[in-house]
Amino acid sequence: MKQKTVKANVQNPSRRSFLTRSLAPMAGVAALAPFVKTFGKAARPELLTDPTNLPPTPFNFTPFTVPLFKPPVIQPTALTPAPGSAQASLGSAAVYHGIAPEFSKSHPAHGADWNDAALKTYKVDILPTTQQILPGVETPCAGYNAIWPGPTFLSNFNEPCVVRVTNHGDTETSLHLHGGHTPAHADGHPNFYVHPGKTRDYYYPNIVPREHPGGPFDMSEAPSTMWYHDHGNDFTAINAASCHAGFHLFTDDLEKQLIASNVLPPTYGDTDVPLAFSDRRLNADGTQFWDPLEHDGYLGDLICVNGNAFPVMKVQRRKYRFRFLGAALARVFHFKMSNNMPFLMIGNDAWLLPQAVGATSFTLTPAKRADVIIDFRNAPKEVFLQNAYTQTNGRGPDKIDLANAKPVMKFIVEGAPVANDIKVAVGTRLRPHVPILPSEIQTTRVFTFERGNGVWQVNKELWDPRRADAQPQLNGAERWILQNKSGGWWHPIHIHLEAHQIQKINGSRPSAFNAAKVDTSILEGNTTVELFMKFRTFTGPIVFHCHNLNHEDMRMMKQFDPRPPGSPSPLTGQSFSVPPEICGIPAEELADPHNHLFL
Amino acid sequence: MHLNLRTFISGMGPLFLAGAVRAAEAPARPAAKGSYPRANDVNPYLKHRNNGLVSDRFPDAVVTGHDDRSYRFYTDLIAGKMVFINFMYVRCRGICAGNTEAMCRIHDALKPRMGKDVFMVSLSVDPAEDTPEALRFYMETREAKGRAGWTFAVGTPADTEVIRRVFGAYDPDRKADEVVTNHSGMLTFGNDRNNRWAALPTVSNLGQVLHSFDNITRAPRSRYI
Ligand SMILES: [Cu+2]
Repeated sequence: MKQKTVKANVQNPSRRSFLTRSLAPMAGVAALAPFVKTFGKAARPELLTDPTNLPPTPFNFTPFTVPLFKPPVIQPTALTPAPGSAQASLGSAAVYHGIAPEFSKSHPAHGADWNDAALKTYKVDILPTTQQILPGVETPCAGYNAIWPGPTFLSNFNEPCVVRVTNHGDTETSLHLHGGHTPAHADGHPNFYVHPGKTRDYYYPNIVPREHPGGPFDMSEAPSTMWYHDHGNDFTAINAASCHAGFHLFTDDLEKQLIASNVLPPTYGDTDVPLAFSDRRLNADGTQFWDPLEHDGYLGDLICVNGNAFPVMKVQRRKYRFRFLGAALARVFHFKMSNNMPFLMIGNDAWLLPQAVGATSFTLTPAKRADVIIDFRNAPKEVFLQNAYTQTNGRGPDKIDLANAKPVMKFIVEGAPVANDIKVAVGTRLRPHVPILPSEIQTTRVFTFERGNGVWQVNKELWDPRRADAQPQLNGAERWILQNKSGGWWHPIHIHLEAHQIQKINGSRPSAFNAAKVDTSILEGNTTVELFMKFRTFTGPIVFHCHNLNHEDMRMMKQFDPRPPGSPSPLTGQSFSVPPEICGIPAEELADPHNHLFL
Repeated sequence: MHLNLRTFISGMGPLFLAGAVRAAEAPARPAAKGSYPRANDVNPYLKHRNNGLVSDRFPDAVVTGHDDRSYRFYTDLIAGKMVFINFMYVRCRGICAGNTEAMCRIHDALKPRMGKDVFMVSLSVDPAEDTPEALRFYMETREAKGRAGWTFAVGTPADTEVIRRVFGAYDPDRKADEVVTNHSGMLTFGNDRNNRWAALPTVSNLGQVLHSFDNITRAPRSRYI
């Protein structure tokens, strides 16, 4: 491994002082200004990513010196006024955007078996802060509780939570729990904002869909690796670039049993580590290079893992569980280890696989998660995680070049092999998968994603927040065919609400890794994905969209509204008619005498 | 160190300099009719901005308006304003009619502000053909005539190409990009004072466009970029 080290005129790679910062009073936070450092003439370590026509980050730095940051676990906190109380209702001073109506026990979707008594409440503030993407360079951003990635949530099945989100930033925001099964009000619909200065109570029942209406919970649907991120339209990309992302890990009895029997490591213990991959590009003053006129896809030249460029992690000679997250706006990764040692894939997106499968390399697009075991038992003392995809524009990656993969993260492997290591191996049974059967399918829908005259269209239509593009029967099952006819462009298509099951990719059965549950299907250039999906528990509107965030902000998006038979969606395409309590926007704000503004 | 584009452009070399000087005269024909002039893939305007304005990158090329007057693209049409910018050409048999119609509806909705704090610029991507007279003909047939604060304009082929690239109104697939009928149907809008810009398909739901415009133009300047 040839590693270019640039003259080290930076301070000691200082670990971020996230604790002091997150505790800083607002006045102090507001006073933070870009901290400008000049590092002399820019050098370009060869690990920086492929040439684009964008200016390279003009800082010298020594890669693989900053220790990997592991976001702290968020602790529950009492909320005053209480969620769901009159003082915290829609339009109130304390919680302007209110809470999902499903929070109420009397709501028809609120199950009698939902464990209301186990409610945990949390507070998340979107705060201006700075982040050392490169050591010694303070980059202004806004983070969930002023850190990037935001604090990690650890949730258990049927232990509901309310996350009270206050937007201290200066742009509209909306929070999406990606991989979650949540009411529409809390789903991060792009128009269901948290206005600057306002607060919304996000209600996550932390339940899973039922096997059939009124039946038991379908525990095959219990997620493991969710994440939360910005979803407010017009600002999704810039908010993501401003570091709006965090992990939300979920466990149920089955996963706890896998941990108790030493198949998997303890959740979020020392050997269960989240890895959020993104890319950034800096200006000479430490701010981020950002081009609001770039609509193809943002590409940075610094690969960040959990908020720091090219970090290093010390590991023991044992198996680690890594929750890989594609947190980039547009970059597609293809990961391998520098010594070609294999990965053990145990989960795709939010869900554990039916059984673990081996892989020597794998692709991670924006929004995708890969739950991966890496066994360092026989690893060399230093080993690198590498990215083999070359990419020079936002259209998609160019080619997988395994021989010239570039390092993104270093592992220093220490000590002797650890006794009593976890037992997961190729073929280990994890979460049983319950396939949706062809006999259950009620409707087939085709969605064709195209580029026409520089704008994104789905079925030749543009996004319309007043129109439900599909009204699946609530609790029904459908076949969706996603066609990418946009030339060579890649689009990772994320469908909210619950998992979908890929049946075919370009007519062929998917690999074992892709054959169970996902929430994001990768539409490579000119690819067709056929999937089965159920639409359980919650009515809409609920969106599905491209997760290249520049495409998403250009409204490469559609929405569906699962409805019981005989109860059509109010989203007729004529006027905006989502009830205020569903969108969390008070009626006064929705008033639209000219039928122009919908929110 | 930090190069301001508007001082930068005069040093851009013969191509751009010639373009600026020629602007008020009849623009030269591109080599192949109906296609864009080939331009360097490398965008010379993407410099590190050091927290400057996005519009530091907007060329201040001289363009000719439908009223036969010369305008500096940035200084006269964008500086300090809230602006909608789209790309069109008179002979277009495709998307332009719908786009211009959509712009008329936006203009109707914002009528009290048009020409005061909100402006529109429709730049021709067919500089070889689109004389000011042709633009006037187009405006008349498309209900766009006599609307306050809306300038139809045409620049030189070279300047047009640069402006198009700066606004992201091109296709990274060169073959697709060279066909003028593929020209961008997106509507870029922003506020030069708060440094916020965004784009939507021009024919998006009107409420969507107005809401986004409001969002973007009212937000304070970002601290983060
Ligand atoms: Cu896309």
